Amino acid sequence: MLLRVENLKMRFGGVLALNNVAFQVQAGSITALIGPNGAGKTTVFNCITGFYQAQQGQLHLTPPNRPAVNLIQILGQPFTWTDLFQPRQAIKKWGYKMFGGPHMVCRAGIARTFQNIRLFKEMTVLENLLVAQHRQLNGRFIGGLFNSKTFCNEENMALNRAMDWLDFFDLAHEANRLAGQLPYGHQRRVEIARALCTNPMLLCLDEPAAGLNPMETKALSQIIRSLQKKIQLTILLIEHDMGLVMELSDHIVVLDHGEVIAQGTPAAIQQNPRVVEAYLG
Amino acid sequence: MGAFFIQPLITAALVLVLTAPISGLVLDGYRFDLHWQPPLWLALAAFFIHVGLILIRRLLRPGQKAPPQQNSRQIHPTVLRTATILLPLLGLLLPFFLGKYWLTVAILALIYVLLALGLNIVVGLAGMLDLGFVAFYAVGAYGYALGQEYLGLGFWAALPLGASLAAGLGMILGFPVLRMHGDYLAIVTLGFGEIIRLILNNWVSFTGGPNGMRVDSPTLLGLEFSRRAKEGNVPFHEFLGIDYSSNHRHIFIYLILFLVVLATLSLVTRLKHMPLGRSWEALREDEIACRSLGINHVTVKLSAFALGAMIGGIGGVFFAASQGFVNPTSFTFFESALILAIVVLGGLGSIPGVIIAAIVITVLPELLRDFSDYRVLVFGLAMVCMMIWRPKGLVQNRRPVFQRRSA
Amino acid sequence: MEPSILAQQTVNGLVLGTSYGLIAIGYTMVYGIIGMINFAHGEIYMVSAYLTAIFLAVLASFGITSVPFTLVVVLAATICVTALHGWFLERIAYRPLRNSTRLAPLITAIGLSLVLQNYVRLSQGARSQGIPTLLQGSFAIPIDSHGNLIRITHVQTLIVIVALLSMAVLTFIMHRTSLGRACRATEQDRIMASLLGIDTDRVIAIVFIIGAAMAAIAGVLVSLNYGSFDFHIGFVTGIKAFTAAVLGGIGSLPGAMLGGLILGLAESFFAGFVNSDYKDVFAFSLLVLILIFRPSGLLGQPQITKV
Repeated sequence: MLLRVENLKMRFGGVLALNNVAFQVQAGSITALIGPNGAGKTTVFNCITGFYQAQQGQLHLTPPNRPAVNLIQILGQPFTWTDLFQPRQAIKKWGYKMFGGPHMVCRAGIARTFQNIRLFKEMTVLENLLVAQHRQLNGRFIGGLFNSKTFCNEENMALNRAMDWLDFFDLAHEANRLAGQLPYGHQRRVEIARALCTNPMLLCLDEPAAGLNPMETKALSQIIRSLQKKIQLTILLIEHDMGLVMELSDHIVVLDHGEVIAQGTPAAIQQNPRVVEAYLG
Repeated sequence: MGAFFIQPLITAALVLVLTAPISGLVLDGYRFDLHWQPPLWLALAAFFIHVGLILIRRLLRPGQKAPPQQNSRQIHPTVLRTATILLPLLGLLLPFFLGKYWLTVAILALIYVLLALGLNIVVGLAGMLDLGFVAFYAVGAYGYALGQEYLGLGFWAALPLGASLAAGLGMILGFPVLRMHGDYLAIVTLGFGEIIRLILNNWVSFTGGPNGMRVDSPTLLGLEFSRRAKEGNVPFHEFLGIDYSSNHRHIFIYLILFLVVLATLSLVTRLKHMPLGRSWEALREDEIACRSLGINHVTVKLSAFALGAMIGGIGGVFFAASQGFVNPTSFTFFESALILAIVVLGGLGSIPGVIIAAIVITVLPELLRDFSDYRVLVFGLAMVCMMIWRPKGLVQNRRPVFQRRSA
Repeated sequence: MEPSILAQQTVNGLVLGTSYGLIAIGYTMVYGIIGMINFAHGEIYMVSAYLTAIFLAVLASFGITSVPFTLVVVLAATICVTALHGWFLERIAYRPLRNSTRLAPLITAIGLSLVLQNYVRLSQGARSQGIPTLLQGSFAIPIDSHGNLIRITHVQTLIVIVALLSMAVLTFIMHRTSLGRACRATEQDRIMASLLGIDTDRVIAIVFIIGAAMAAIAGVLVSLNYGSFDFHIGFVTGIKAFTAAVLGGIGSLPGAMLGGLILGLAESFFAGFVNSDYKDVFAFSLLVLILIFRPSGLLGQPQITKV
């Protein structure tokens, strides 16, 4: 098990967007999050990746060979009166409040893409991928200023890693074009490649097939499958294309009105009367 | 053909109505003098500009627009290498051929290059509109003046002091401010800049208020550049046994400033090719995507803000040293707007563009003294026109081209 | 502090505040509809002050001495010409930038304010200008038994009355007419509004016109009150009015007025009881603090960032 979501609750004003959402993502699996529009899928994503702070509930990332991470904690929790008696904890909380946020989630090993593509449009494709690797390069500030040998080597390695991913996504010929000038389908792939450059354990894809034609969708499904096979990546995806979801996923979670109404294998979900009523129709 | 002129005619009529009261009826106490020419000239100008615009639009029919610029035009490496050696040499030799007047202009131009490089980091690279950049400039200049007055610091102590004061202030201001979005940041920095100026202006007992403060010129290894040195010191010209010339001081300041500009330039160029610089540009493009990639937007923005502030502070120290005098009128909002105009005209993010624009904007008004009244008006117009027709500036920011390299 | 001074400062602050509120409407409406800070709005106010003096001088040269007639004509003429300025600027400088980056219109606005300032300076000269006193006299209101009184000049009364009237008219337009409905729809979602057949370019132009007209009202009244102005006044007054807009919650009309009143009072008290040299510092600090701690203002709604 890689990610444990427990009792997630999120309220926007008077709207209860998420109510006691709970599910688990197994390491190395492909898990799909489906449901009608407005069911709260993207809200779940935003809670997991730290862009929203859930008002209640727990999010634990438990990688097999690394210490577990409490995702709620690293986003910065509000202070409570008990902090008065536990100054050490309070200081830690303050630290996360000042320096925590979605970037910490990424550093913990969760990468994501966005429903409406968010590339750095005025930068080249390759630069997009290099930005994603800044963590691996950041320690070399002084070396970078003087263009030292170690810095050059690291930079070249980052460059080659980026080129490897571009090769994998069949985009190497576009490496030096501005990202904003690529066709839509390519932009989607660049965004996934960029997320992969952060070396994630869990990749969250928000409607990766939206706007793709059937050919591209097929190619995408092969890419996702081979990511799972080749580098044992765990994938969580939101998708409306049921063909893709049923073909790919090992586990499906169905959301409706902010609640999990069913979860299980594709076969079980297809038979589930509640899901058929609420979504599949 | 009739329709061709109707729209421009309407525009001209409109401009006539619009400008008739302000430019045609000039107040003189409680009465007014009639000046009938200016509105007519303005209307005529509006007419021809509109006709010109229609002509251009006809010539460039939609569909015939220039294709999106390819990112392949790169300067040839030999040309680049020759330029990087030759230009600094020329710059170092330049002051020895200039008279006193042009020497001060050259120093001012270099100060603006420095300031523009600093603001370019904040606005051009990191995409944060800082309208209070002059505050850091003022902190540098007054850091020197006050340090000399109260702590007895010389130029060489004031340089790091002014730089770190400005950077520190940038951090203190930046930390709460950088979480907010674009235009609010602009206003907060603007307010901050004005607060600093007003305090400098009103705190008469500490800063001398509007009367300003006197500042000593820098020394070379303890040698002064005045005709007669303070007690116990030797003036520079006596030490070398040459005739006194007030130019020595300016040449000296120019040379140090030139070296500082070169250092800043190489720093900024290096940063652009480093992860930090790339993160700045990425933040400008999309903050949310940056955060999803593990970039801490607050610290990365803060680094840009503090670095820009530091460069501004250094510029301020040089300004104080070259003028020999500081007062608050040098640090109005207009100064911020001017530096911003340089960055915008040069091309947001483009280092060569910004340098060229800084030099042009400081030297051109000196060449066209007769039109100096129209200087600011023209800057304003240029800013508007640039945003409409060439939002990326005169020299567009080039993207680096990468190839697979052996590690 | 003495109660009579307190009362007098309250009156002055309220009068000052209504003028801030009137100018703030321009900022708040433009921000609400296209999400941009119209930095040149303060200069529009400055232009209207000049127009007031010019129209007064023109009327005087015709030998017209009737005060109510002069007031009405000057107010009407200034509003019209200032509104035309607002419309013209929007048409030539902002409309071409409708779909550009966020920075572009802001930089344009700064450029425009430089242009306006220097256009006025070059045309009218850099010296400060004056306006003859039109309305003299004041109401004296006793506030206690010792014979202390506060004075409310006729001009101050006029300012408050006209400001309240124009606010009422504006509120009526925004809530009861189809134009107001179109404005509010465009504010909610510009693309959807245009799909439903609303000419959003026209609506935005009208918002600029309304904003400029409100600034013109403030310009006429404030010039009558203080009697002198120069080409610099737009900058500081503009920022203060923007502070008022943010304080009240940018995008909200009643918020602009409320923010104006609070800022006017705060500034007036600060100048009266703490230090009048630092009253601008106080106003700017207030701006910075509000933007940091409560950017949504008093009546605004906090924004949720969409991911």
